[in-house]
Amino acid sequence: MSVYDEDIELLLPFYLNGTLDEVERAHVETALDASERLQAALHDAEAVRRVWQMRESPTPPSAVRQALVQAVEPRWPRAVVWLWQACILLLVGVLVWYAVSPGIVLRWTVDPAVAETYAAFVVYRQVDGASPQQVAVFPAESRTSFVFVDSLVRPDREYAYRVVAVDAQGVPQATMVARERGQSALFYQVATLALAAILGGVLARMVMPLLRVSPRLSSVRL
Amino acid sequence: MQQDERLLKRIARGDKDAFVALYDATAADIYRYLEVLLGDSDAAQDVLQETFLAIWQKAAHFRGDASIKTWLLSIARNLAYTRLRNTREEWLDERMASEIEGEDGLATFVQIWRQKEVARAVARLPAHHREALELVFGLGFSYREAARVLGCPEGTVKSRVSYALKALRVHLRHLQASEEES
Repeated sequence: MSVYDEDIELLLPFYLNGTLDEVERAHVETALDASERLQAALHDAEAVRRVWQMRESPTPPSAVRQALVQAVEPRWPRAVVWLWQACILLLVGVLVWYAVSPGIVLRWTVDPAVAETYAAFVVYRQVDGASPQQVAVFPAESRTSFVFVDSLVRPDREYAYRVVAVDAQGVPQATMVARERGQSALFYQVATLALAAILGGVLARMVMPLLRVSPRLSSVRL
Repeated sequence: MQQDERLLKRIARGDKDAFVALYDATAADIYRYLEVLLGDSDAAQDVLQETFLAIWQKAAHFRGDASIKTWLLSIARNLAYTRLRNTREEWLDERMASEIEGEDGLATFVQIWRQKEVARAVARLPAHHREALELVFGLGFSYREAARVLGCPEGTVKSRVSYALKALRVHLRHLQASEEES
């Protein structure tokens, strides 16, 4: 038998089950016309196929289906799942918000020559002209640069900040003033919320299988 | 294909009805394949359960680069081979021999004997030849689809089917000759 015939013979089972493409099928039929050896092989393969298909075709017992349906029964009501997802979203939102701190950023530096004069910096905030409120205190600690982030600003408000440098007795030595509209932080706030929503959604999706079902085979054995 | 993918997406979201629909549509074929591969209905039932539990948990991982049936059979095959690695296969012949001895009634005996003989011949084939034959003659897979399920080159699928055919052909000829003699 030629190499060509051997290749064609390998295709005979697929010729019989009708899965060859048109080109392969045409090759097989041409070769079959020319080779009695291949015709005999086809006849034998067909005999095996018939016997194979005559074999009892087992069906899985209905108990398998019942056991599986029980195994995938949700363990938690849908409301609990939603609550769980909401908690994850909220937690991730808070964490991301404080990690990114989108808001108004105050930065100031101190001349090293006079840095020892100051013991602390007190930050006051004034919203829409209301009375100022102290919002932070930074011990000087020999540092020369400081950053304060006000991450709880609203876009419809105007904020005025006053940073007062005080000495060891608490006596003011210098004052810096800055004004900013809350709207300037809006873009970063929206971007942070979007990031939190994406991360929270991914995390909620990752932990969902834990809530949904954790079937063990032992629980569905027949 | 798109319907199947939608079904899997629903399963990934925890839709039990979709899971049951998928089971009803595919379990019989997977079970038949597993029985041929494992040669034992109890083991086939166990692996069928494991397969569908895996589908329930991994439905979101379906990438859609093969048909859903191919993907399901790949999962079933991996689980079956894990079991086969820990199981001796020789017991099958002994079990079948005892079943044949236990049958009553001469009228059905020849038919049962023939079926059992064919089953015994199938059981003697190596597992990877049995499953190749089942994929092609039982489930009607092309060699490309079968190669995806078996995780081997298309040429290997063809040669495994060819080997299995030759082995069964020899056995069936012996069977035919012994029936003609009797």
